[in-house]
Amino acid sequence: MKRLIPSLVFGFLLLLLPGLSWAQQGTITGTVTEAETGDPLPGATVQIPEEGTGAATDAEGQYRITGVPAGEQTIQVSFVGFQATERTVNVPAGGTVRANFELQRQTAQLDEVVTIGYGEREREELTGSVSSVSAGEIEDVASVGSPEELLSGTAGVNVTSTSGLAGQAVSVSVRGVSSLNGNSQPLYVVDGTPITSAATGGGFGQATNALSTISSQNIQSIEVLKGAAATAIYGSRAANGVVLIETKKGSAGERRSVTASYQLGAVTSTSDFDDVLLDGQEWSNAHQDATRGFFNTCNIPGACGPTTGLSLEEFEGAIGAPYEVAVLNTPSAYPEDAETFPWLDEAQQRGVTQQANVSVSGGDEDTEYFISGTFSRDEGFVRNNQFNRFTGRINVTQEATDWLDVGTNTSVTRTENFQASSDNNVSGVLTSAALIPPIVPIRNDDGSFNFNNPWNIAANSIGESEVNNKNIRNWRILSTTFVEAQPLESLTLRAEGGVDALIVDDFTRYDRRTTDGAPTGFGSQIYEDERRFSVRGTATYSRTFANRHDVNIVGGASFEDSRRNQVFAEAQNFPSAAFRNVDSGSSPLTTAANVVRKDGLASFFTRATYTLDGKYTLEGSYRRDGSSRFGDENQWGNFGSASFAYRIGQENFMQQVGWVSNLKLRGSIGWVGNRDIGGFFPQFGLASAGANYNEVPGVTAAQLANPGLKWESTRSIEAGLDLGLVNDRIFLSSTYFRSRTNDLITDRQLPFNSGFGSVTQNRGELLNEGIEAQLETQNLVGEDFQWSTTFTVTWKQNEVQELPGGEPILSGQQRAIEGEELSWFMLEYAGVNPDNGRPLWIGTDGEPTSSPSDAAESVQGGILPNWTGGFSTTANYKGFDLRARLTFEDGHSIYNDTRRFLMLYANFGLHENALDRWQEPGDQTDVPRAVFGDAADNSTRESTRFLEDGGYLRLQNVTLGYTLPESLTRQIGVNSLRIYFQGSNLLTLDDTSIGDPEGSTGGAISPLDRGVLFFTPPQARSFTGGIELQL
Amino acid sequence: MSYSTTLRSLFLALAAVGLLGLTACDQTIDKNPEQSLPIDQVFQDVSGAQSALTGAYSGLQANGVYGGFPVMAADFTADVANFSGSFTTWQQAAAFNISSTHGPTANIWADHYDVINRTNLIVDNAPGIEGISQGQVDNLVGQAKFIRALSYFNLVRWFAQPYEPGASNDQPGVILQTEGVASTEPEFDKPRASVGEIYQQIRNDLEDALSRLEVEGERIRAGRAVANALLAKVSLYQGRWDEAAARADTVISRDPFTLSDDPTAPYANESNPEIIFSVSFSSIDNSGTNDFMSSFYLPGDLGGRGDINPLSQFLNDAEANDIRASASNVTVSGTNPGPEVKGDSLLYPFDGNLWTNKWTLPGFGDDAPVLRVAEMYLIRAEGLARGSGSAADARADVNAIRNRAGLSDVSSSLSGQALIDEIIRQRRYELAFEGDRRHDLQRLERPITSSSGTIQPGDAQRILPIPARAIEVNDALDQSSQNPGY
Repeated sequence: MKRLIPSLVFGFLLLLLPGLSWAQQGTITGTVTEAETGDPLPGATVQIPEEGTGAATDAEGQYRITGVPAGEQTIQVSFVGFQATERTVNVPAGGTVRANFELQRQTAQLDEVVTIGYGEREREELTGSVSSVSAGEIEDVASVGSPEELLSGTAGVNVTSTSGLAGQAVSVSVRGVSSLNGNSQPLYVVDGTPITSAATGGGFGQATNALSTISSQNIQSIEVLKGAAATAIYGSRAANGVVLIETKKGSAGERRSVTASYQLGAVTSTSDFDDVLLDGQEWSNAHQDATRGFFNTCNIPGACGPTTGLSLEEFEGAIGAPYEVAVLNTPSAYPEDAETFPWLDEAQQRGVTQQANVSVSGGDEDTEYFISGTFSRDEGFVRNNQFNRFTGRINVTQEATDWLDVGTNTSVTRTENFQASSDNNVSGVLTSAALIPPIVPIRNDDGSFNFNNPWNIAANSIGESEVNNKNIRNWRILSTTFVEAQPLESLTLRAEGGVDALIVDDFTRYDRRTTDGAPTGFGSQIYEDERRFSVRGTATYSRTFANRHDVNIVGGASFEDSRRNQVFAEAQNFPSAAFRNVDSGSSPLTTAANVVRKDGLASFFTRATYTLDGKYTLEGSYRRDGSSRFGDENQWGNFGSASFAYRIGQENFMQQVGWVSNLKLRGSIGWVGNRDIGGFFPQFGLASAGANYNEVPGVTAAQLANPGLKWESTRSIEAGLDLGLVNDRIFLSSTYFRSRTNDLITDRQLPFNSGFGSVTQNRGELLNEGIEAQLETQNLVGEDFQWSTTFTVTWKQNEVQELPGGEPILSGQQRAIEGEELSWFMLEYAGVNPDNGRPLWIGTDGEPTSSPSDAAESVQGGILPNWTGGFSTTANYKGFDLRARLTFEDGHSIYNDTRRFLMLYANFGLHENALDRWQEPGDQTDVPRAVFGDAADNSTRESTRFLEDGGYLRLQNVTLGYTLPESLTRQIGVNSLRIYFQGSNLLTLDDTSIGDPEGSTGGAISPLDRGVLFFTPPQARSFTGGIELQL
Repeated sequence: MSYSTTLRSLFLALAAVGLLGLTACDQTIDKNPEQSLPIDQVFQDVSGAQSALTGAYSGLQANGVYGGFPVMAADFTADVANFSGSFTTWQQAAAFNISSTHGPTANIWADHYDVINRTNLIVDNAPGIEGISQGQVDNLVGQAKFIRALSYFNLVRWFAQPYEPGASNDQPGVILQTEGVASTEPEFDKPRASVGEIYQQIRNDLEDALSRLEVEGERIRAGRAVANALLAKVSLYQGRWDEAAARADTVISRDPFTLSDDPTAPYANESNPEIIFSVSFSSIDNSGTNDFMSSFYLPGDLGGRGDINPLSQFLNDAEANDIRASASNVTVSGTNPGPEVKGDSLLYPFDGNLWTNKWTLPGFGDDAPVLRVAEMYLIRAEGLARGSGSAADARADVNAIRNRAGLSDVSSSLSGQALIDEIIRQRRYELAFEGDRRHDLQRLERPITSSSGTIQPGDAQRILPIPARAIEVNDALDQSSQNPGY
C-alpha cells in the first residue's frame, strides 16, 4: 500500500504532462469511407505511428485524434479487408485539420506480395506457379504438428500424414513424383536458408519428422514453388518443388504488439480398430470354425492327427481332448461365454494437447523485432505417445545506417518424441492389441500386466508400453543472419549466413519382461547430429525506365556444407530395470561411430525479368550447381527456365470489359534436377574396412565407382491462365503441367564376375502430367458479413517410361513397370466358390481358379491418387469467424495388410469380415471358408482381396472463433481477445475396412513404399479450445 | 551516382565477394568419405595392400565360399550327410532338383568372384606401389594368386564338367576374370572360358605363387607348401598322377606338416601341424551371417539348428571301429556340452542322433579346413597307385590313414582298381563333413547318391547351373551358355 500512493501520484503527474504542452498541439478529424460505395467504415483504425496515438472510427465512420503535436504528421488508416493507406497532413497548433480517407477493398489476389527464390514479387507479376498459405490461414489452424500439414489442400500439392502418431512423418508431393529411389520430397527453405527435412532418429522406432521442430506459431507465410519457372533458381534441388517458409518479423512503425495464446484439446482416433474386430464370443466361434476347417481340409502329413475315417467328434472322443488343443496346440479350448478384454481401449488414451505461446513484435524507425516463445505438449491417442516442443525465436532487423540493415532470424527448438511402438513391430501398441485374441486377459488377477500370451507372438503391448522406452529428443538451431545494403535506390546487396544444426538423441530401452527385451533387457543409444552451414550473396537490381520498362535482375552465389555424424551403441544383459543406460548392459552388441553423410553444394544463379507496360513479362533464370554428390565427369550441372506472362487484362481493349478484372496467360519451360540421390558417396569407388580375418583388420572394395553419376534431371513445361472477375471477387487460377524426369537413379545390375552386384547409375524415365486449378470466390463482402470460399483440385497421372533393361523395380506389392503408372501388382481376386468356400483368383486363362499358381500377378491400379484437392470456406460475421476445410484424394488404391493379417485365423484377432465367411455350400460371399492358419487355400495370399479404394473426403478442420468487441476488451487493457473452438478430422468418408485410408506403414514416404496399411495408427481427431490475447 | 555511393557499393561488393571467397568452391564440392577410402588409395602403400590381402582372405569366409552352403552341400548332396532342415533351397539341392534361380548357387558364384576381384586388385596394383620391395610384391602377389587359384578351383568344380585328362577340355568352364575391377570401365560382359583355360589359369597362379612365396605356410595363410598342396590336388583332378604324388610328397616332407596320431586332433586344436591351410573364423570377424557350418551341424540345444547329421548310409558303409564313423562314449547334455571335441571319435551322440565332432563351436569359432596332411597321404597314394608309382608305397599311405582311424592294414596284395577304391573310400571317411565328397565322386565320374536321390554321370544336376541373373545381365552370355538341362 505504501508503494501504491507514490505510484499514483507519479502517474497523475504524468497525466498532467501532456496538458502542459497543449498549446503546441492540434487535432485531426475526418471520416473513413469505402471507396466504391461511399459507405462509412466503422471500426477502422487511424494511427499516427510517430506519436503512438490513434483512434478508431465510430458508427458513422468518423474519427478524432486530439493532442497531436503541431506540424507534419503521417496518418495511417487500416481496416480488415481493405488496403491500408496513409497520408501526411499539416496539423496547426491549437487548431483542427480534417483528413478524409477512402479505403479500397482488398481483394484476395490483388497486390499480394509473395516470396520467391531469392526475392519477392507481386503475385500479378509472376510468370511461374506459386501457392501461398498466409499468416491468417496459419493462425486459424490452431495446432499442427509440423508446418507442411498447413499445405494440405493447396493446388498441385498432395500432403499425406503417414500415421496419426504425434511427431510422425508427413509426405509432401508437388505435382506428382519425379523420383523413385532418390528423395521425392520438396526442398524446404526457412528465411532463405535451405534446411534438413529428412526424418531423424528412429533406430528402433519410427523417425521423427525433422520439420516438426518448426513451430507454426512463428510462421508468417509459406509459399510452394511449383514448376520450373518458379523453382529453376534452386537448380539441382528443384525437381520436387520448393517450400519457402518465412517466419514472422516486426515492422517499422508498428505499434508494439504482444500476443499471448493458450489452447487445450483432446485427441482421439478417426477410426477405431475395435469397431471392426470380433469380440470374444464371435472370435471363439469363428476360430473354432477355422479349426474345424483345418480338420476337414488337412492334407499335411502328420499335422492333422489320425483322422482317417473318423468324424471330428469321434476323433475328439477317442483322444479325450478338443481337436484344437490336441492337434493344433492352441493353449486352451474355447471358453464358454468367452469374455472380451478391451485391448484396443486400453491401447489408446484420450490424449490431451496443450499449447502456449507468447510473442512480442514491433518496431521503430531503426529496429524491427519479433520475439516469441512457444510450448506445446501433445499426447497422441496411442498409449504413451507424446510429442513436446519448445521453441524460442528472435527475429531482429536493425538499420545500421540509412542504407545498411543487419539482422538475424534465429530459433532454438527442443522436441521430445515419446514413441509408442507402432506398426510393424511385435511391441507395436495397436498392432499387438489387435493381434491378441480378445479372450486373453490384459491383466493378471493381482492387477499386474499379463505378459503371458500363449496364443501367438503378439506382446502385451499395453504393458510393454509402460516399461519400454523409445524416446527421440531433438535440439535444433535454425538461424539466418544477414547484412543488406541499398547503396542505390535500384540496387540491393544482401549477404546471408545460415546455420541449421539438428541434434538427435535417440534412446531405446526394452525391459527384460517384454518381447523385445527378453531375456536380459536391451538398450541402445544413438546420437546423431546433422550440421549445415550456408552462405549466400545476392545483388538485386530493380528499376523502371521511361515509365514502361520494368527491369529486375538478381544474381548471386551460394555455398553449402553439411555433415552428419552418428554414434551408436547397443547392449544386452542389464542388471535390472532400474539401470537405464546402455553402459549398464554387460554385453555390448554393437558400437559404431561414423560420418554417415557429407555434402557440399556450390552454386551461382541469376534471374532477369523484363516487363513492358505492365503487360508483357519475360523472365529467365539460370543456376549452375556443383555438388559433392556427383561424379567427376558431371560435377557441375546447369539448370534454368524461360517463362512469360501476358496480362491481357491490362490491355486497353479489355478495359471495356468491366467484369473481367484480371486476365493473365503464362507459360514456362525449364530444366531442374534432384541431387538427393541417396547413398553415401554413390559416385565413388569405395573400399571399406571391416573385412577382418583372424582378427586382423582387412579392407575390401565395397562400392564400384560411377564417375558419370549425376542428378536426376527433369524437364518441365507449364501453361496457365489466371482469370479475375467482378473486381477479382471470383478468381480462377489454373495450370497445366507436364514434366519428364530422365536419368532416374537406379541400380544397374552387374555380372557378378565383376566382383560387384550393382552400381548406382542414371537410367530410367518418369512422366508426370496434370492440371491444377484454384477457384477463390468472395461470396459476400458486406459490412458485417463476409464469406469467401476456395476450391482447389488437381488431376495428375504418372507413367514410368523407361527402366534399366526394362526390368521392373519391386517394392513389396508396389511396382514401377515400364509403360505403367506406379502400380499395385498382385493377383486379381475373384471371390469365393459358393460350392466349397474356396477362394478364387483370375487365372492365366482368364477363368477363375482356386489355385494361385495358375493365376498371374498383374497391374491392379495406381499407388498415388489421381485426384486431390480441397474446399475451404471462411465466414466472418461481426466478431464471429468460421473456417472450415475439406480435403479429398481419389483415384488410387491402398493395400490393407491389417485386414489380411486379421483374416489368417492363426490365433490372431479377427476382422469382422470373418462373420461373412463361407459356411455351407450355396453361401454367396466373398469371404472364403475359415481354415486354421489359412493352411488349405492360401486365401490370404496377396491379392486384390485386400486392395481397397484409397479415396476419401475429410472434414479436416472446422474453427469457430469469436473476437470480443474492442470496446469491451479495451476496458481490461486488451486490444483484442479471441476465443475459438476447433475440431480436426471430425468426419471422414472412406471405404477402408480397418484403419484410416491416409497412412503408410513404417512412416514410409517414398513413392514406391507408400500406401500399405499395417496396423498403421489412424489419423488423429482432435477437439481444441483456445484463447488469444493481443495487448 | 555520387562519389561516396560509388565507393560504398564498391566496398560492399568487395566485402561480399570476400565473404563468399572464404568458402572456396572446390573445398565445398570436393568431399571425401571418412570411413571409406577411394579404392585406388588402398594401394598407396604396402600396409594398405596388406590390408587388402587380409580382405581377400576375409572373402573366403563368405557364405558362398567357406562360410556356409558349399562346404556342407558337398557332403549332404552326396553319401556323407543328411539335411533334415526346413530350408527349401537346401532340400532342393539334396534332391538334385535345383534351378538356375537357386539362391545358394548364386551365392557360390557371386561370393567366389568377389574374392577373385579382391585378389585381382592386389595382383594388378601391388607391383606399382611406390617404394615397395620385390620381396613384398612377391609375398602379396603370391598369396593373392593362391587365393585366386583356390577360388577358380572351387568354381570350375561346381559349375563345369570335369576335367578330362588328355582331352582338349574345351567344354565350357566359368568366366575368367583376371583384371581387377574398381570402376565401370573394364569389360564385364565375358563369355565362359573353357575348362582347360581355367585349369591352366589355376596352374599358372599356383606355380607363380610357389616361385614367389618364401615361407612354407602359416596355417591360415598361403605359403610354398600350401600352394604345392593345392597343386597336388589340382593335379589329381587333372589326372596328372605322378605330379600329384610328387607334390603331395613334397608337402609331407616339409616342416612343420605332419600327420597327427589322433584323427580328432586337428579339430581339437586348430593349429595342429596336420592343417596345411584352413580358413580362419572367429566370432568377431564374421558377424552377420547365420549359415555357418556349426549352426547346421550342432543340435538345437547346443546352439545350432540341428539340421545336418551323418547319413545312415555313411554309418552303414563304415568298417567297424572306424573312429571317423563311430560314436564317442560320452554323455553330452544341453547344460554340459563338454569340450570342443566330445569324446575320442569323430561323431558324438546327443538327443538320439549322431553329430559330427568337426563343427562344434557355435558362433563361427571353428576354422574351416581346406588342405590337410591326411589328404596329402591319400593324394600321394592315389597318384602312386594310378601313375607310375608302386602299389606298396600307396598301401603304406593308406595304412597310415587307416591305422590312426582305428583300422588295421589293408591286405598286402591290394592293388589295381581295388586299391584305388580303397583310397577313395578313405577319402570319403577322412574328409567327411569337410566339403569334398561330391567333388570326388564327380571327378571319378561315379554316381552321386544323397539322402533323397541319385545322379548318374551325365545327368544335368551333376553340375550347378550358371545363375540366371549372371546370364541376364551379361551380354556375352545367353541361354545357350547355360549348362544343359537348366
